[in-house]
Amino acid sequence: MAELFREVTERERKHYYSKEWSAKKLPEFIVRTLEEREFGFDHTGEGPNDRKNVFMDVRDLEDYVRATAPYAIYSSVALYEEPKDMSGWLGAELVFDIDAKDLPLRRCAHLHEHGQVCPICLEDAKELARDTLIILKEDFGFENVHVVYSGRGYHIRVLDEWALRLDGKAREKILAYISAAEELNYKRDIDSNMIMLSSGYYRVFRLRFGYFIKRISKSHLENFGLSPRQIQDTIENKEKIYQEFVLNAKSPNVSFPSSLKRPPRKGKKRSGLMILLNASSTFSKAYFDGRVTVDVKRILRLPSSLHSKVGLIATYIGPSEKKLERFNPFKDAVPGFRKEEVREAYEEWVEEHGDEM
Amino acid sequence: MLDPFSDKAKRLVKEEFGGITELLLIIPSYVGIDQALERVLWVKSGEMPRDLLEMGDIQDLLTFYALLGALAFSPYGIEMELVKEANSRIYAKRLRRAGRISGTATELRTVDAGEIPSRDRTILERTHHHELPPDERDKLRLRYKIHLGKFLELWEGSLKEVYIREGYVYLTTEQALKLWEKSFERNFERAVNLLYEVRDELPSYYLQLYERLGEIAREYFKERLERMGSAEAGLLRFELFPPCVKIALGGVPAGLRNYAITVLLTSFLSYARLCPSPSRRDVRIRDCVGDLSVVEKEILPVIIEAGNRCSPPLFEDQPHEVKNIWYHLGFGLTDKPRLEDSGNSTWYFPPNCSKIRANAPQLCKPDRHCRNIKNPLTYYLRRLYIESRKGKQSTEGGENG
Repeated sequence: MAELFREVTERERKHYYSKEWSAKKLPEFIVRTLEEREFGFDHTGEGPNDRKNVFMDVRDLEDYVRATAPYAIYSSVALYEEPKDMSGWLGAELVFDIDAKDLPLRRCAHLHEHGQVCPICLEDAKELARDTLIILKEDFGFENVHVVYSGRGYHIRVLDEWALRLDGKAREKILAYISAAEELNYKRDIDSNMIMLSSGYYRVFRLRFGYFIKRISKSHLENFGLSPRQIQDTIENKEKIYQEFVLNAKSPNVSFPSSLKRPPRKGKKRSGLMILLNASSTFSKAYFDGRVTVDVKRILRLPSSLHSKVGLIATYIGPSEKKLERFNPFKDAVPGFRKEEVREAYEEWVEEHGDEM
Repeated sequence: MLDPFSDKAKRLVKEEFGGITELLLIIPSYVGIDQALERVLWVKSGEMPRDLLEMGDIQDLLTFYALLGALAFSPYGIEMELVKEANSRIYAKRLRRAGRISGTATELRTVDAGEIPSRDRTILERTHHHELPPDERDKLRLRYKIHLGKFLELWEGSLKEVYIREGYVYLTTEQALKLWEKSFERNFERAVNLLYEVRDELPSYYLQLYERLGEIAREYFKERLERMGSAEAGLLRFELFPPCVKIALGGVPAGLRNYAITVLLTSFLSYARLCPSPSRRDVRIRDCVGDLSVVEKEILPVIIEAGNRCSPPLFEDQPHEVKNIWYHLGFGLTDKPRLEDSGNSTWYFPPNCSKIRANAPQLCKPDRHCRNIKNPLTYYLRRLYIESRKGKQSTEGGENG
């Protein structure tokens, strides 16, 4: 049976790197800074233990990759004066890693186990990546942003000059903002109408809440401790909440059902509304692998290299939302030797589960 | 003067005096010690004299830099905290009186009309909340903006607290002042660090001024000192050591051993433990301790242990190197030192970061605390200072017990 994801053989790797891949496929932002990056290789599938490699010329990298056909290729997000020693740190890309296999609020929990991926998880990861791209451009004013399909998710890489210089502490603050990780307070944030702002943290919060509300289920709402009435009202009003609160930034006092304005049970202090809003924050912390954002010496999968574990290519998508919207990993990230197999598997999958997308 | 670190101040220093060193040499002829101390004497009462607020630019620079010159003898001590606090309050009050925070070292710009969508302005500035008195509404006005990159270098809170749009952070006057204070603090520490380099070349005027500052600071921080002690000679805090010293402590390969152990570690540990803020270059160990037990029980074992961690162990194939350690501690070439021998050779001061980078680049792996630091000892002093501040905050702050 054709498979969407499967581990490739050593022979297939060799075929890919000798026949399909060339250094011309590397994105320009990597080639331009090649000499300042550390390269890491995984030759066996056990992790990148061949690190601190430096290539002064893209042809040297090409020769090395062709000769060794590694299981995986990585390059540093940091730029160094001496990448061989990882010394003389010049800066590091600001990176957001959305790993589809680790996403909470899975719509496809009935289709596969946690830790695996399917077209639905990848579609959800894409939506999160798109919202992140919008925030980075519109709020932070970044212009040098690149989206990469990592094989099982998305990397968003920022190379604006001032982003490169940020220290770990500043990156933590940006991550908390991007992932809307800070909880809300009724008086300060809702009653004051701050939640309705068209820019800044509150808009990010609404965007992340939009993702959350579209995916929460009855059992989630039960776990949050909402009353049966509040659960029913929330489920029935999902679309209204999304349209009014998320898209049109109307006050939650208008957009949410009135039953949510009360605490779910006697003796409880928090209203159903605040429980729901802050549950969104709890989930959104898990959309990103925070270690990748905060670590200024990390290595990331090299765009154009083969993700041997899943048999797809880590693919450079580009800087725009449009390109990201149009990107389909099962068409655009498939190595030539798997084209037929993935096409067939994808068609089968769409036939079976396409309506759930 | 609204900010002694602004471009305007820098221009004045350069054009009127020829540079910072020249300014420091000229100051003793123009500013009496008592006159300089007026900038800090008021803090205890909290009543800032009007003269301080209305001082002319040149006079302001001369008196302010007189105090900075004195701090070269004790960076990150209580004297620095006193001078920083008093002067931050003076400049902040001047900024409030001027009604604008432009022309300072903080890159704040005024907000143009129409930059913020009107609905957002209405929410943030509570434009329609007529129940609020006008001065309350005035406090909510977003008057300044700063680029996010610059903002993140200074802001300690979360990004939820501010309004962000198109790469800029928009701030009320109070938020902007808070940011200016942070920038003043940072520039202040940077300046003190730079002056630490030239303290041996400064006239005795600054040492006298420093001693007077010490008296005032001890009085001002009396309660705190009694409660927690100061960042003076004390037990070594290994976790606050700079990365180069930590690397040396972990043992290094041949070729690096003598520099790491004998030159860097010996000088760093001895000064950090016995005399973190030497007021003069020719200080001797016997000026700091009454017997050699601290050196023998606390400093030497750490050096020997680090030497043993080297590959190959330093003192196994170079046992005479122990004599060299004593030599670097100022006791001459000996392995049986007595306290009275202290001064037979120079007690070597820790090398500057630039020298470490040049002579042993493998030791220099800067972390975020290394920013603006010129010497490993000032790194340690700065971190001790930050720790003591944290301690102060935790004893003074907090809620619900």
